[in-house]
Amino acid sequence: MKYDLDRYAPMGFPLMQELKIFAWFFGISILYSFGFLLRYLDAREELFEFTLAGKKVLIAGAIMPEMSSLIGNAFYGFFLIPLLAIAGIIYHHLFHKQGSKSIYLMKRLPNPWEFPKRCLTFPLLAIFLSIIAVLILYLLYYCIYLCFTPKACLPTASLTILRSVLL
Amino acid sequence: MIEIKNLTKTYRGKPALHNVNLSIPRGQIIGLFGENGAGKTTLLKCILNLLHFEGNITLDGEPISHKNIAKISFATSEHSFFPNLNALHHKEFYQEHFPGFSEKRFNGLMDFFNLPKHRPLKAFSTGQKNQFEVILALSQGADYILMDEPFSGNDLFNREDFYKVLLGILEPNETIILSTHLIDEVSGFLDRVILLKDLTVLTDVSVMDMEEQGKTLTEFVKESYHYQKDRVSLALDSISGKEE
Repeated sequence: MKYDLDRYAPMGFPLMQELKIFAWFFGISILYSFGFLLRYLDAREELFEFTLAGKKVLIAGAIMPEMSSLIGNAFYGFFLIPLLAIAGIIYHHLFHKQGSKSIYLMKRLPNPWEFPKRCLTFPLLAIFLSIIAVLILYLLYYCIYLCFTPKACLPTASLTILRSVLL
Repeated sequence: MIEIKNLTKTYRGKPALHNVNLSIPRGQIIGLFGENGAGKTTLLKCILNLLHFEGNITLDGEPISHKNIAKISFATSEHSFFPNLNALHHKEFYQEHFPGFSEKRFNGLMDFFNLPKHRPLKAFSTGQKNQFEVILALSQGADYILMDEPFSGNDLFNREDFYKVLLGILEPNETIILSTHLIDEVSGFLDRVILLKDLTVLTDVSVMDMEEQGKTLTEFVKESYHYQKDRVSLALDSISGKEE
């Protein structure tokens, strides 16, 4: 398995080290996105008030803030991953000039795709995975938003969805 | 045959080669000489398509591209191997990418130079690194083997061993283009000499013609470069302030 992964990285590159860095970034980005849940819970609490008898009831006419405003900066961590990936591409390229000029060998291979393959695959995969992660998390958070917000407090549903998609 | 026509190369407006024309057939051992900065390395890199240039370079009538680049190999004193990997990893990599790779030649040369097969290249001595670089170039299965100062850092005995091996293993259709400053050492086995000066080819002569003129390679090179015989004594006189 390791051998197969190594085929997509520069020859002799400490791939596991790089994968760990990306994994940490992914983990931290996912944790950071949980900020949405905190903001959502706060906003949801704002929909209720307590009666004199201590009963929790919906405030008449209260409306949940729209999804996009609750999302806020939840996905900023994922936006950093493409920047990290671009740095990775540059580093992969420069790696072929460290300790030797193996870039000469890579550039004169009969397979013209070998060099770009080894420089680009993992950084592009990281970008792709960050996009997928954002989409999945957004979908998950949207489901939470729809399922746990009292129906009467939802902003006009169709508009919300449209705005959420556009924003 | 490699044909170089009107090759001109500039680095950010500064000329490095100007209007170079050469024909390099199969089966020759060619010495490429010139002062530092004469353009030897640039010429080799242009042949390998590692640099952008003006003019035409063809291999058997075709522009040099990924389709025919396997016919040319390159050994450079800058080294083009992967320093974190060992010799066996390199063998696998070359076998995968160069269909003509000669495992027999690779193993034979590795054994001859007694190079470790399981140690990362970065742990090799400079001499061993040079040897390995040349072994890869010779084993690739190329018709044209370009060598750019391949023995810098190797001791004399080491270099002499290599020259002997080189002559012993070369096939008749293999061409070596050897860029070096070690004129005396290589003079014995060259077929042809190309001298670069002032950005272009100063002289392109067969060793046979040179010998017919009764000149050694060193004499020929010095003559071509208009080397001043009294250069050193004049300089010493000037430095020591000796009165005429």
